[in-house]
Amino acid sequence: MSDIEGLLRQIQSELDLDRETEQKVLAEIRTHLEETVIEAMSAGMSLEEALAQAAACFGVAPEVGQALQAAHAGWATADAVVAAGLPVLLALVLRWLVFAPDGTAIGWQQVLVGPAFWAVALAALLVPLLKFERWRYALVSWGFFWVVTVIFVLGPALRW
Amino acid sequence: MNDLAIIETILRNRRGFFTEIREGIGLPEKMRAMLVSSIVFLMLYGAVMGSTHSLLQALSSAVKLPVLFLATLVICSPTLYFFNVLFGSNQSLTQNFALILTAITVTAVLLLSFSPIVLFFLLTTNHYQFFKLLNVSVFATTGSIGVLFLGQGMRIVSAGGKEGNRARHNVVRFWIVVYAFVGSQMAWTLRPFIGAPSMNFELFRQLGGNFYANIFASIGEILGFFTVM
Repeated sequence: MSDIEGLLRQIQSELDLDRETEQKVLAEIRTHLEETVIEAMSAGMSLEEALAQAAACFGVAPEVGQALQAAHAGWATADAVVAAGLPVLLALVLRWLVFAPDGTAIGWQQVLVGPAFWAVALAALLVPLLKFERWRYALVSWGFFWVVTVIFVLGPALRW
Repeated sequence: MNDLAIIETILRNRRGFFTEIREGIGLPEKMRAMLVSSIVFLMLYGAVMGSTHSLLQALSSAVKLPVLFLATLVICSPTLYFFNVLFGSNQSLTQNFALILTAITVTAVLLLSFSPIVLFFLLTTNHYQFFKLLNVSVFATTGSIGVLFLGQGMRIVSAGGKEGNRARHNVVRFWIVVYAFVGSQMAWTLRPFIGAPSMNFELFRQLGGNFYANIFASIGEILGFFTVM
């Protein structure tokens, strides 16, 4: 399968993504190419012919690489931005649910039975889960949200 | 271009990014993406700062922080442009604007990365002066890295230009000092961003005093020398 490796190297040279995304993209292409080669060989082609056909079906490597770069660029950063920003945003929403604009604090018991709190908690889980390509980011983000929430309950937040 | 993709490009492939600015490639798209990203990140950080005081302060700071950076950009970019032209630069005002916007975008994304930390301190301390100095330190750190990016960008963008390369480097250094002074005075004019707990919400405070005297006073209070009224 040295032709496949060569093709992958050409594609990789066009990519400037984070290492994890790059490896994921290349692994998907490798699987796709290998399946195409196996299908072609089972249809009676030689290995060389099957490799040539798979490479031809896939397209010109530099152009494919550039298209993949355009498709995946920025997603890792977008994930990181959401992972850092969303829990902060939701914590601020929580803060304003607990503490009214006039400075009076609502008891946590009242907050916990209100639908607004659960809407925020659900949003803190669902938005990252739907947004992130990597689910562990979503869990980390959700965990951070709960850490902040617990600090709200236990910490000296009543100064507000 | 995905607006957030530009952050990755700036941070990961800054040489390519600055080269494209030098060649004038896709400037409107780049500037729009940087503007949108910066405004969103700065709004979030501003909301965190203002949340120590009141909802109105949080909303006010969320609006004022992007205004602070963008107004400083508008005020300072002609100086950079004309001084650069004077010393042989062939870059347009738009290219200079894009370069400064790059510095602001880097500062904004770094501020966003600090926002969980600042939020943590907001939740766990109730010392106003400490929180103010923490924010000043965060702004000093992120702003310094932002202008380092600007210096790096200016070197790449100016490379291969006409005579006066060395002079233009000095212009950038001089301009960074001017930018810091204008930025700090602008911040002082637009204050409060955090809001002193003993005072009611105000959109703007009366002019008077200056940023540096206030910071020294805060340091003095933290060290126990005196109490700021």
